[in-house]
Formats: sequence, structure tokens, C-alpha cells
Amino acid sequence: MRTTERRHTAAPAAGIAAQRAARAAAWRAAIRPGSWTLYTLGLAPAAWTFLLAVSDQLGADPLKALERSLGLWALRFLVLSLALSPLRQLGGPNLVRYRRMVGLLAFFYALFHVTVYVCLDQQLDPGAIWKDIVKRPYITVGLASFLILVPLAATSNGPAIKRLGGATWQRLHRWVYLAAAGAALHFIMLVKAWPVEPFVYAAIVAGLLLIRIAFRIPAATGKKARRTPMTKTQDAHDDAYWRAKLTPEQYRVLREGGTEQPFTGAHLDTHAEGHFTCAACGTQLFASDTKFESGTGWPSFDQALPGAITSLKDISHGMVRTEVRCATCGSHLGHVFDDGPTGTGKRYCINSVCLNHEATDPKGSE
Amino acid sequence: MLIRRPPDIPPSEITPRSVYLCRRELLTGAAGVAALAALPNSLARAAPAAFPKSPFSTDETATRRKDATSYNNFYEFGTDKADPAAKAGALTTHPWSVTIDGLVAKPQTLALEDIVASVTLEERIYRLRCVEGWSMVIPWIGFALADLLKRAEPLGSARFVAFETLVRPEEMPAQRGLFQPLPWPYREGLRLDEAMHPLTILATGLYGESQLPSQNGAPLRLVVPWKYGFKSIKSIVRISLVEAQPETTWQALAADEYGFYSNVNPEVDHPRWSQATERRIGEGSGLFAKRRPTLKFNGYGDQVAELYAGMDLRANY
Repeated sequence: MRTTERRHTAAPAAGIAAQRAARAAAWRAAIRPGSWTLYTLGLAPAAWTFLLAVSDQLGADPLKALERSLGLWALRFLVLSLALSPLRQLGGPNLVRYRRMVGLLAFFYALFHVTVYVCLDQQLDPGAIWKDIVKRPYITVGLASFLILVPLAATSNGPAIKRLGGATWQRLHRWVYLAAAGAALHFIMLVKAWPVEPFVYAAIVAGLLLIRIAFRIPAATGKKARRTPMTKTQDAHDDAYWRAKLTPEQYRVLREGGTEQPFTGAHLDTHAEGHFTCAACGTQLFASDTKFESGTGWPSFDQALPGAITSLKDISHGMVRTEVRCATCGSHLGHVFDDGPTGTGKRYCINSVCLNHEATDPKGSE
Repeated sequence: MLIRRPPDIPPSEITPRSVYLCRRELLTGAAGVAALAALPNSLARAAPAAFPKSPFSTDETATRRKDATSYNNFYEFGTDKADPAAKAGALTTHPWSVTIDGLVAKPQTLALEDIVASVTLEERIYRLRCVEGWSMVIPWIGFALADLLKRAEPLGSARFVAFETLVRPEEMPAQRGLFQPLPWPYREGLRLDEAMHPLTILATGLYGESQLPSQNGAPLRLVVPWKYGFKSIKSIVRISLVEAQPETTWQALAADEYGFYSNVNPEVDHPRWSQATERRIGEGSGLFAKRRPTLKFNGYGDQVAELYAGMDLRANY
């Protein structure tokens, strides 16, 4: 309604602005994680290599070239999926929201790779394939890596994360490191002599694993030390009360200061008018119209309701951040950063699992 | 008055015969280029001369020349099969000489031209089975290795023949730098009776052309059709007759995977893959080629099986 009005009053300028807005919206849609544009881009090497193979432009042995190219792309996407989180931790851009897509692309390439091996290389000969699996360690290792990716790909979606619970899901998906190590090993084991390439990939996977371990140790040891007891509040309840009241995932985040997996929360796309309340004690924390799309994968707000929250310095995970807690019950909610895009300059990055939404009935009934 | 003898010409000033010969070849080559320029439609590649056909040739369809000259294992130029075709162009194959030494009555270093002039080149269409599980059919131009070895008169004590490939890092990119796939020189070996067998040839050309493309092992390479391809050493500079079984490159690198004999044998698997079947390059439009069963001794059993009579081929892989 508002836009049509504006168009009537200042026609040319508004037209250009609308066009620009439409273009920006289209661009945003195109680079949204999991968009068709990005999947098409990610799968282009497979389509292109297959086209080259069937049109006799892949050299003397197109089958081997295709098989190897698909395997290499699977390994590349696996490495990339592991690199996104360290990239952010080491101060690079935050592309973690693309991780699910990159991981799924790795799985698709691995699937194509296995399909070419089974159908074209071994020509569906079950005897030959079975002999390969049991007698050739590089095939055994490669197949094991692929089999690890299957449940990971099958649970790379919101409903599966909710069904499993964040902690279980995270534990399951840590297997991706083993799959990547297996894939790199598979590559080393199948070559003759000492070519450089497989060892480069193995070194990258090993490096990523080391970074992962390095970031994990301070996090694990710091956990107990940094935690300011969550009891000094007016609404003090004992631990047993919270354990009984909250789901395990809620307890882990609200009472143990954990963090949910990004892009998994129920309130990521909640925009209805009303308020967000503390999932632990029900206090109103944020007004719906202060919520904005940050692209981080967590609900984000540019301001909190006055007096609803308290903040504390948090030096865990090798970062200095400001932790945000519910002022009423002292439960952990998330963090606040000074890089907000709106006038307040604040970005309250809140775990979805810590929030409930109270809608204001638009019709005013009840 | 003292008349002094002029000093001897130092050996370094003498133009090697091979260079001298190359100069002559350059002139004939220039004449050839002029002739080609006069015939704009003729191909730049030397017109195939008619080489006598050998009765040892197979009548199977030859692999496309483009495949045989673009899909090569020649690790001196890199481990990718496209590396040799891309990087071997800079290899200087003129002048070229081969040293024959060891247990021979007449050790000698021969210019390639000398060798070629003393033999009769013929066409041998052989199956080539790579240890990696693929195969080709290649029309080689060459001559029996025995003809060359006889010139050096092997001594009675000689039981094996050892071969060495050129080491020239400035022209062979994988021979320089921090990461090198193999220790150099590339070395191979045969038992003397294998080397003297009429099927064993030194090739100088292929597909009717008298000269090999560099990626195929120019200017002189071994072809032993009943053994896996890596036994057929490329760009040979040295042939030594020895008493003890020589160490070979692949055997030194992984003795459990690559034996000294390395006869094609579908019954003895490579530890990491099966050797029971092979994919013939160029068949079934590449992607959909049916695997064919690998033949014992690559199908040359009638001629060579007797060399291994009584031997356990599983132990002597």
C-alpha cells in the first residue's frame, strides 16, 4: 500500500528506487544459502565434465578423467565445508550460513563419483565391486567415507536437527572430519609414486582438524571458569527446577551458556507482531519490530526492552564478547555486538531456543 | 731453431659425430621444409614411409594416434597423463647417443643415427597393457633389441640387461624442484634371454612415422609387449649388461607392488587393484567401454611362456 502511494507522488525517482530495490532483492535471493542459483553453480563442474566426457573432449580415458574429477570436487567441497568455521574464527568473512549447502554439494559429488565407479568403471559387476571393497584398502576407505556422508546429508535440514536435538546433531555431524580424512587418505592410497596433489589435500584436512582441536581446547577448559553463576537474580530457582522445566537443548543453552546451531532455530523467520519472551521465565525481552535479518542464522534484534536484559563480559572461545542474559531469571540468551545495521548500532544475537513468541492478535479479539 | 709441435686439439673442441650428423640432417630438414612450403596441402608431419610389416603384429584395431600421444606415463615430465604431451616438447633429442657398457666385448657409445643406419626398421603393431588397468594397440616402428646388443658382443657372464633414461632437469620439469615423484634416473631391466627375444624391440617411431613424439619416449625406447607398460623404458641413454639382477625404479619404490618380471598376468593382482580385466582406450566411445579380460602374457604366451617354464609366476611377479 505504502509503495503504491509513493509511486503516485514521485513517479520517476520512486520507479528507479523500486527497480533498484527489486534488483537488490533478486541478488539477495540468488546468494541466499541453498538458492537454486548457488546449487546450479556448485553442480556446474559435474555437468560440464560430463559433457566433455561424452563429447570426447576429456582425453584418451574420459571415464577415469570423469571419475577422478567428481571425486576431487567432492574432496574440495568437503574441505571447503570444514574451512568456513575456522575462516570466521580467524577473522575472515562469516560464510557459515553456506555450510549446509557446501556439505550437501560434497555429498552429491561423492554420490556421482561412486555412481560412475559402480556403473561405468565396474559396469555393475557385483563380484568385481565386492572384491574391490574387501581386497582394496583404498576402495574400502573411500566407501567408508561416502557411507559416513550419507546420514550427514540426510540430516542436513531443519526438521532433522529439531528431531535429533542440537547437541546430538552436532555430535553426529562431527563425523564429517573422519569422512574428510578418509577421502584424503583414499586419494593418497590410489596414486602411484609421489605426486604432490593428494598430499596437499591431506595437509589441508590435517590443518583444519588441528585448527578445530585448537579452538576446542580453550572453549572446553574455559567453560567452567568463565561461567558466572546464574542464580543472583530475583527469580532464583535451583538447578533441579530448570532441568524439570526446560528441554535438554533449552537447558544447555539457557542454563549452561551453550549456543544452538545457526539456521536451526524456530524463530529465525518469525516476524509476526508482538513480543519475544524468555523461554525460561516468560519475561518480555524484545519487541517483534526490533527484529532484523542479520544473515547469521540466529534471530537478531537492534534493541531490547528497557531493563529486560543484563550484559556481562565473555572471553570464551578466544573472543571478547558481551554476553546477554535475562534480567529476571539470569538465563543465558546470546550476545550483543556493536555492528548493528540500524540506528541503534547494536546487534543482539539471540539463540532461538531461548525465546518464545507472544503474538499481538491483529484483530484485537480475545 | 726450435720447431714446436702444435698442441693436440683438446677433445672438447672436436665436434661430436652426432652433432656433425645433426648438422647434415638440419640441411636436409631445411630442404624438406622448403618442399613442404611448396606443397601447401601436405601435412607438417613427415609423410609416413612404408615400413615392412612384421609377422609379430596383431591385426587388432590400433588406438587413435591422438590418444596414444596424449595419454602417457612419463614421470620425468609430471605424474598427470597429460603432462608429457604438454611438457615434453622442449626435450632435445638431437644429438642423442646411447652408451652400451658392462659385460660386453665392445663397450661403445653410439650416435642414434649410427644405430638406426645399422638396423632394418619395421612396423610392429603390439598390444600395450598398463599396470593401471588400461590398454592400447600401438603400431611401433622399431627393430629387435637383440640386433643392437649383438653389436656390443655380450660376454658369457652377462645375464641381465639394465636400462637408464635420460636425466636432464632443465628439460624434464619433474626432475627439478622440491617434490619429485621418483628417484632418477628411471631404471629398468630384463633378463638377457628376455632382451634377446625377437618380440623385444627398441622403437624409434610410431603410426608409420620414423620418429617418436617426445612424450612417447623419443628418440629411442624399449617395447616389451608381454610385460606391463612401465617395463618399456623411454628415452634410453644407457644399456648395461650385468651379471646380477639389476634394481629397477618401481621395484625400489614399492617392491611388493612392482616385481622385476612384471609380466602381464590376470591371475596375479596388483595389491591395490585387480589385473583380471582391462579397459581398452578408445573403445565404446570412452565412457561406456566394456572391460575385456586381460590375457596372460598380454596374449603373447605362445611366444614367451617358455622363457618362464617351471617358474612360480606368483612369486616372481
